[in-house]
Amino acid sequence: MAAAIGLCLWASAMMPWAELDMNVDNLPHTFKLLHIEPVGKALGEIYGGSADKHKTHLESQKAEGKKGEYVYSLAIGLALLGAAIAIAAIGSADDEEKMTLPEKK
Amino acid sequence: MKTNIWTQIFLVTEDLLNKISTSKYNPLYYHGALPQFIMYILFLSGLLLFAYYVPTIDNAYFSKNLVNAYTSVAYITNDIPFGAVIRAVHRYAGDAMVVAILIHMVRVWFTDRYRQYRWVQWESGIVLLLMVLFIGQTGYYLIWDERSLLLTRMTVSALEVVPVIGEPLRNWFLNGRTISNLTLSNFLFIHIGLSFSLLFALWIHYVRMSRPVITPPPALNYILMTIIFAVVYFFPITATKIADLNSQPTSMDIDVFFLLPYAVLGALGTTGFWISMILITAALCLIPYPFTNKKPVESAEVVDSKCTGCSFCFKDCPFQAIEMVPAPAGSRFKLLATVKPYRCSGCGVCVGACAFDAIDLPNLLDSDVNEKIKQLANSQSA
Repeated sequence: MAAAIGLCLWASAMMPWAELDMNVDNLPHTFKLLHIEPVGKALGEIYGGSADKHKTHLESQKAEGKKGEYVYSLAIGLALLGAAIAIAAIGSADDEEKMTLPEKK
Repeated sequence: MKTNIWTQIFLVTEDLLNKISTSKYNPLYYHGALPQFIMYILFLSGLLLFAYYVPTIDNAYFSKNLVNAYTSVAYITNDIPFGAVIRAVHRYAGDAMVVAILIHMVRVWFTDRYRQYRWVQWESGIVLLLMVLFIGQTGYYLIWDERSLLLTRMTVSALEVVPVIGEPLRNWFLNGRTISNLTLSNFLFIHIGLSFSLLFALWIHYVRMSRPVITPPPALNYILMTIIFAVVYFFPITATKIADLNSQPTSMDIDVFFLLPYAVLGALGTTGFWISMILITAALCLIPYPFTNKKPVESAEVVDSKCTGCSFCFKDCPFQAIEMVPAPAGSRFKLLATVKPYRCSGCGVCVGACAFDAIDLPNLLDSDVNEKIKQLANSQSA
């Protein structure tokens, strides 16, 4: 379950980086206002290495629009997958049969 | 239950999924609810697309730039934040809905849940499937690229050959005698209007179910969303060419989930198309009728002298076939279970629910079942 939660968090953190179109060189003004520019730069360091791979794949598929939005799609998908596995792991405790079959009299 | 190789395949698949996901999250146990969840995804993504969609084939609102259905779709894709992703989600969720409906249909058929009182569910399900397919096809018209034009012309050619009402049908479809701005308005109306009509059809679909499962567990919904988002990333929607009324496209990519009827139309011609479509639809509609069932179903019978009026059978019956009525004068109990034979499918759920052996299936007595279970248990423990 820890791996699933880790996947969810890792992919969730990937979403803002993808939303920035995989480029943290010119962070939006919001980052400055909130004093979270280091966070933006950190995201670039963590995920930046895969940017070229994503771009190459999406360009080979002739994807339209901003490429980062497709990566966001992948990230939210992975986050949901992690959440699903974690929820299922927690919920499987309820999987035991609780119904008592009536005893024939 | 059908007892053949397909049943075995289903049981093995079910068992495998139970081991992977546990029975609580087995998608086969939510095969009816999944299409409904996908419908909500389609409604939401469609709403976002509708906000920017312009249903015309020429400059209806602006004079300088070409603004029509095609360019508005391109605008959504290229300029609206996440427009391309939302458009792709809408398209792939549609495909997922067809897949989910087909799994639902096959599963219902293999588990014999379409017989007797549930014929309404089966027939309304066929109508829902046809509605979904037509909604999906109108979605392809709306893009107004070369494929849309070819699909529109193929549909017109198929409608025109319908005896007596062919011409009115064509005029209704085109919203006039030829393709015009009004045509796209009609396509949009059909696409959205029919989508909301699904809710009414679903009400009919559910009306005879005691406890329809209409929401899959969140974990399943998340996994479904994951699949759709992943497909969006790996297979993004690509640009197509704008429709040109002065040209005649001759080939197109076929989406097997929605556009297969057009492949049939292209291969068999209009007459062959209608014959095959009518035959397929009629065959699907006739499945629930008794002559297709080898064994007639006998309804459950209540042993009045044993019934305590506890209502367990009434609560458990999935077909609303049991009614609790006031017990006859002189009875020690207040209520008595009665069976509505025309609703009973002979599934035996009530027999299992009754703790007093007060309800039996005429051709499958409770005592016989108990004896068989004991024999089976003994043979396995030995």
